[in-house]
Amino acid sequence: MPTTEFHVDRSPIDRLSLSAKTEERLAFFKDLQLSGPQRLLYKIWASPTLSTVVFKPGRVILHAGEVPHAAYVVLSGQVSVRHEGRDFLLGPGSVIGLAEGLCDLTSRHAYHAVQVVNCKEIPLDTAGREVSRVNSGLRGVFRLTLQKILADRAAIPDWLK
Amino acid sequence: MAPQDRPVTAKDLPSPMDRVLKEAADRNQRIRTKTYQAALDLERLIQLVVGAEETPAEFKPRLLADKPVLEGQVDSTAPTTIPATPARPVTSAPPTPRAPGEPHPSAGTGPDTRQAPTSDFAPGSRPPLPEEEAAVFSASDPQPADPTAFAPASRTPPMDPQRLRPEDGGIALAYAPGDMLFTKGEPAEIFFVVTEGRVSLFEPSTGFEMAVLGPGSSLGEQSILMGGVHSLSARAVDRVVCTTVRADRLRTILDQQPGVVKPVFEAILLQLSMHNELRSQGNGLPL
Repeated sequence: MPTTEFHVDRSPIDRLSLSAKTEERLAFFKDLQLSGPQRLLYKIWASPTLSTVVFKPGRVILHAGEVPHAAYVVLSGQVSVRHEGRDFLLGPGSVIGLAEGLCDLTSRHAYHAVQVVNCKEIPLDTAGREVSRVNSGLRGVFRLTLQKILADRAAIPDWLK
Repeated sequence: MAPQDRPVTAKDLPSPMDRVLKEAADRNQRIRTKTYQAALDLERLIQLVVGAEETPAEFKPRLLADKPVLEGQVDSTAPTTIPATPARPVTSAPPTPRAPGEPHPSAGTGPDTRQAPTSDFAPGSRPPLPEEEAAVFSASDPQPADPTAFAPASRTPPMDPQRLRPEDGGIALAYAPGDMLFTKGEPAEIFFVVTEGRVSLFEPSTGFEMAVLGPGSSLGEQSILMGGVHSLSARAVDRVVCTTVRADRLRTILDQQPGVVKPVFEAILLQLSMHNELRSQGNGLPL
C-alpha cells in the first residue's frame, strides 16, 4: 500500500545535550538556523501551558466520526492514518484534531499510534474560550487559517466571527 | 395629530454626523459586496490602523505607477492612490515638545485651519500665531533629546497596546501580472490579504503550483511568527491588490495573550504547514 510520510526534522534540536547549561543552550540557539515549522514545533514543545501526554503503540488517538475534545501536537513517535487506500505516517510536528475540534466537526479519519507517541495536548474548550476573546484582527487571521486547512468543509463557529 | 401630519422640525433633519456615519456604512456595504466574508474581518483589522500615510520603505515592492493603492479601493478602474482612512485629528493629541524657535509642524504643510473667520473671535482677539503656540509648548515641556521626537507621528495620542498603530500597515499594494509578492525562504514580515486579482502559490524548485488564491484569501501567516520564512513563492497571476499588515505588531499583541492562545495559534499554523506539505506532495489528507 502506498505510504506518505510527514514529519518536521528534529535533528537540529536533538544535537543539544540534555544536560547543557544555560550558556551553552543560549550559544546553541543563537547560531541555530530553523525553518518555520521547526521553530513552531519547538515553541509548542517548550510551552509551559500545555501538558504532555503519551500514547502506547496501537492506541487510537482520535476515532473517525468523533468530534475531538482535545487536539494533539506530535513531539515524537509516529501516527498512522488511512485515506483512500493510502497510508499516511505522521511524525513530529503533526497536529491532530485542532481545526476540526475548534469548528465542532467530526474527524474523517482514525489516528492510530504506531510507536510510543509523545504529544502536547491542547484542551479545545479552553482554546475556544480564550481565542474568542482576543483582538479581532488576530481572530481574523485565525479564521482565515482555519478556512485554509478545512477548505470546503470549513464551518466557522460564531465565536470566531 | 398623526405622526405623518406633524410639522418637520430641525430635530427631524439628519445631522452632519449622521450623514458621515451613513456614508461610512454605505462604503462598508459596497466593500462587503465585493469581498468574501474572510476579508471582512481583515477590514476590521485594518480599521484599527489609522492614518497610514506611506508604505514603509523596506516593504515597497514594485507598485503600479509607483504609488500605493490604499485599503477600501477595490475598483480596478479607479485611480491608484486614495488615502486609506482619514488622518487622526491632531486636536485630540497631546502637545509635542519642540525646541525653541522650531516651526510648528503644521506650518507650511497645507491650509492652516486656525485661520478662522474673524467673526468667530471676540473684538480685539485673534487666532493664536504658530510662534505663540510653540512658545506655550516649549515653555512647559521638557526639551527632547532625540530630534526624531519632532516627527508628526509623535503627535498621535497614545494607543491601546492591544491595537495596531498607523505604522503597522493597513496599506494596499498593487502588483502587475507576473510580479513576485515574495519568494520562498525570504523572511516573512508582512501579512497579505488579497482583495483583488489572483495570486499563484508555487514551489520554486519544482514549479509545482499548489494553489491559486483569489479575493478574500490570505498569505504570509508565517509572518506572525518570530523568525518565520515563506515556505512557498507567490506570484501575481493578473493585476493584484493586497491589503498588507506588518507582522511585528501582531506578534507583540500575540505575545501579550494569556493562557493557551499563543500555543494554539502556533499549533494551527503548524497544522496548516503540515497540510500544505502533504498537498505539495500531491497527497492531501482532507479533514
